[in-house]
Order: sequence, then C-alpha cells, then structure tokens
Amino acid sequence: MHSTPEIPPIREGVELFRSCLVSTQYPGVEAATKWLFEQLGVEYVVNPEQTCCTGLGYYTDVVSFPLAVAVAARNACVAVEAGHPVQAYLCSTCYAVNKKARDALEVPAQRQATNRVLKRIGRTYDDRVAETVQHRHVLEILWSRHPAIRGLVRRRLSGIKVATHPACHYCKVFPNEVLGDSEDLMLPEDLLEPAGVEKTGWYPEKATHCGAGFRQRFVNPGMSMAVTREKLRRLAERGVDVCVHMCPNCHIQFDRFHDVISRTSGEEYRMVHLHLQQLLALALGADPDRVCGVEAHSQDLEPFLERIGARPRTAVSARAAAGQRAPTAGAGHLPAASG
Amino acid sequence: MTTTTAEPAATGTVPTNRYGQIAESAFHHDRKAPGLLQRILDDPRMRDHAQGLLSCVQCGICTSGCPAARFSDYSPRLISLRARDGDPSLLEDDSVWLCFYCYTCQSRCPQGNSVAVINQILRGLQVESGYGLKHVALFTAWAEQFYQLGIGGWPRQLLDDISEAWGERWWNLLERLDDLRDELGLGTMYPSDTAVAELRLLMDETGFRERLRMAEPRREAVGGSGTP
Repeated sequence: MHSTPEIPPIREGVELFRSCLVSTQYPGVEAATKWLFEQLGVEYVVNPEQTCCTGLGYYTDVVSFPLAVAVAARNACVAVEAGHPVQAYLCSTCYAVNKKARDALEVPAQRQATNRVLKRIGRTYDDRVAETVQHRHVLEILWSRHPAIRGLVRRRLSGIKVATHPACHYCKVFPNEVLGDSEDLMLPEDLLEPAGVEKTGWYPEKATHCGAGFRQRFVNPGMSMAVTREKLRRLAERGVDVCVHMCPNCHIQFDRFHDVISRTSGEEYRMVHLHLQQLLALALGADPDRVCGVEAHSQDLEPFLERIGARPRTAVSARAAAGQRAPTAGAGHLPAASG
Repeated sequence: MTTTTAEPAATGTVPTNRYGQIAESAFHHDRKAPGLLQRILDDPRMRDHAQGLLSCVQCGICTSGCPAARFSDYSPRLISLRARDGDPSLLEDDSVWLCFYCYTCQSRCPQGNSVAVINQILRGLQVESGYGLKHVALFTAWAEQFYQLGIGGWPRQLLDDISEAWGERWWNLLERLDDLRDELGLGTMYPSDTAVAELRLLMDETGFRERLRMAEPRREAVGGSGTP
C-alpha cells in the first residue's frame, strides 16, 4: 500500500535539468534517470542552453536574489522556447530556487525588474512563459508513471530495508506542494514498493536535515557532521540497509562522510547511501557501472551489489548465503572481517 | 511650606517622578529601528511570511527543530524577536551565518513566519554594507567558475582537507570524471557558449562582479565560527 497521492502521467515535454552536483559528484544519478525515463516511456531532452541554477551560490550568499531570479527566468524562457517546458530537477535545491523565482516573478514589480535585466539578452519572462513552464522534481515524473514499474522489475529487493532521507529543499520550502506528507515523505519508498523492499516509514529524526547546510559543511564542519551523525544513528537503530536520497548535496554529506563519522565516533552504521534513481534502476535490471556509475561513491557498495544480485557472488557472500554468516549491507562489510 | 505642583514633563524630556522614569526606560530603550523591520517586510521573499513575522508569538517551535540551535548558540526564535523589533545589531550579528537554510523553522511555524528567509535577507544586507564580506569570501571561488563556465566550483582552499577526509576514491573520481561521464553515455556538463555569454550579461547587469570584487580581499581572513 502506498500513501503518495496519484498525479496524471507526465510523458513528454520534459527537460532534464542538469545539476552541478550530480554532474560533478554522482554522474550515475543522471545516467540512471535517463535510463529510467527510457524504460518508463518519458520523452525528454537535455538542453545545452540551460545553465546552472545558482543554488550553491545563492545559498552561500554570494549570489544576490535578483541574479538568482534572473537566471531562473532565463532558464524558464529557454525551456519553453525548446518546447520542453517541464523542468525536471535532479537536485532539490534546483527545485527550490526555481520555485522561489517562480513566486517572485508573480509579483508585478519583481517581474518588471527582472525583465529589465533580461532585456540585455533579448528575452522576456511573460505570461506565456509563466503559464507554460512547470517545475517538477524527477521523482514526481517517475511517480506519474509508477503503475508501469511493477512489470519492469528484474531484480527483486526482497528483504532489503530502505529508509527515506527527505530532502529539505523539496519538503520544507514549499510544504504545500509536496507529493505526500512533508514531515514523513514516502515518495521514494513508494516508488520502490513494486521491487519488494521493506519500508521503514517514519523514524525519529526523519525530517532532520543532512548537515550540509551549504556553507556549514566547509565553515563549521563540526556542527555539520554532528547533525549528520544524529541521523546515521537513528537509521542504524532501525536496521536500515539503504538510505535513499533525492538530492545530491544530501547524498554527498552521507556517502562521503559516512566512514569518516563512523571511524571517528567508533559507531557502526550498517547501511549504504544511494539515490532513488540508482536503486530503482538496479531493481529494474540496470548495470551498476554503466548506468548507475557506482564508482563515484565513497562507500564500498560491492557487498550490497552482490547481495541484490547485481554482481557475481564471491566466495565470501556465497558462504554468507549458506548461513555461515548473516549477510548485511554496505559499510559494515570491512575487508578484514570477511577473511 | 511651599507646595510645588508637579509639572507635566514636556514631550521628549525625561520625567522627574519615579514611575515616569520607569515608563521612559521601558518604552524607549534602544530597541527600535523601524527602518530595518520595514526593509525585511518589503523584501519580495517575505511576501508569504510578512504577516507571520508580525504575528510571531515566540512559541519556539523554530528553535526546537533547528539543527543549528541544537549544536550552537544560534536561536531562530530570538532572531525573529529582534527582527520584529528592528534591532539594528542584527546588521552586525555573526550568528545569522549559522543557519543551515534547511527551512525547518519555516515549514513548522504555525504563524507562517520564516526565519530562514529573514536570515537570508539579513546576510544580504550585511554583504551589501561590507560587514558580511568575510562570510562570503570563501565562496567567491564558486562564483568565479560560474562566471567562466556557467557551472559553479568548490572552494579551492578546502580541497586538501576534503580530499583527506573523503579519501582516495574521491580524488580518483575527480581525475576520472570526464572518462566516467563518457562511459555513462553523458554529454558535456557545461552549458553552451551562447548560454554562458548570456549568463555573464545577467551577472553584469545585476552587479554580480562588483560583489565579487568587494569580497576578494577578504578571502584570506576566512574562518569558522560556532564550531562545537
């Protein structure tokens, strides 16, 4: 049973909005998204005229709001111009920044001021653009096609316990526009349901944010990692195998700091971190390297990939499957423990 | 014996009786700078939150869910109180830079206030006045690359620390990124030349380069604050 509300199918006119963090940190997330769009019959383009959303600059306060709005308005113009006005975001901050701009551009004085800036490049954000452009998280596009997922599952994820890390910039900036409960988002887990996963649902600290906080990861890393650790502890308490992500900034924070925090705190968190699109693509039979780009992860994903049958079994995992050692996922498998 | 009649204090003068002095102190201590409150309320980002700020009841739900409040002295509840009072010291208060911009305060506020947005406005005002430049100097690296390529970059000064923490796999990724993207069948991650050219014009038109130039000399002075 799922709790995520149904939406009409989105089959065409999609512009897969490139994300700087996905492009440079986890390119497999973009490749897995494209692969899923093809499997689910979503017609899309990648538009070379689209620029970075300014999100990292805006949320480190280098970029002013008028510039962030002008860039978003320009990106909306080029999406409409290309006949693919459904901007589909891989990153929750792209989603938030573009929707913030959308709201500002509804205020006549703001729109006039932005159009004065856009005049320099010969563009106008007018009613036609405003009424045509749409802002969607990629997960919403996938959800709109979810009835097709069940028939496409090639690797059952039975016995794999998944938990959602709800991205703040999807859930909390526009809580009234979230597909589901902004404090207990089930969209990622509901998308995985046809693959037979065990859902976690709500857990303490579910709504707590990842700890990145833009500048805080760099300027106040102690505070940043303390927040991340709280979440890792709660996920570990629930026996989660995979923490599912929907924003590359959260993904960086958990995947790259997982082992650092584990080593430093002396606590073991037996889980891996994957983007929803990567895990769903794996369930639908995608190649972990050529589609999901697992090489880009800091965590060692090999034991998990073996467990779900995405890698040939090694002697170690075969022994585990025979009952000599209970299989577990992810970073809990230290090489020393397997010999 | 001469009886003196207390004369009513003229407007603007300090009353001589005790209650008058107490009232003077209570009503006119240095908390009001209505200009700042109005600037916050007038910001377009406050459109959906202005009434929320004015009707803040100081319940503290913002602080109870705030990750920064949990691990530092930062208090969104007090930021809201001081913003409503137009407290000018907010314009030189470093604590607004501890906000994670996670919007938990906004999404849970029963009045529709948003301290995250108020912080963003205050940081912008601090940058404009020059006070806040020390807090953004580190991130000008992002901005320079954004100007050159249409896609941002990370602070170079931090690469050594990050690569040490994140390990060899991450360092290898940086070196292999173009090859990996090819293997995944992805095209270039950079926008077209015309897109970047347009972007630069937008940056020039909104005074972005000026903002960068102001921040540049502060880059060396960057430091953290509030680290537990």
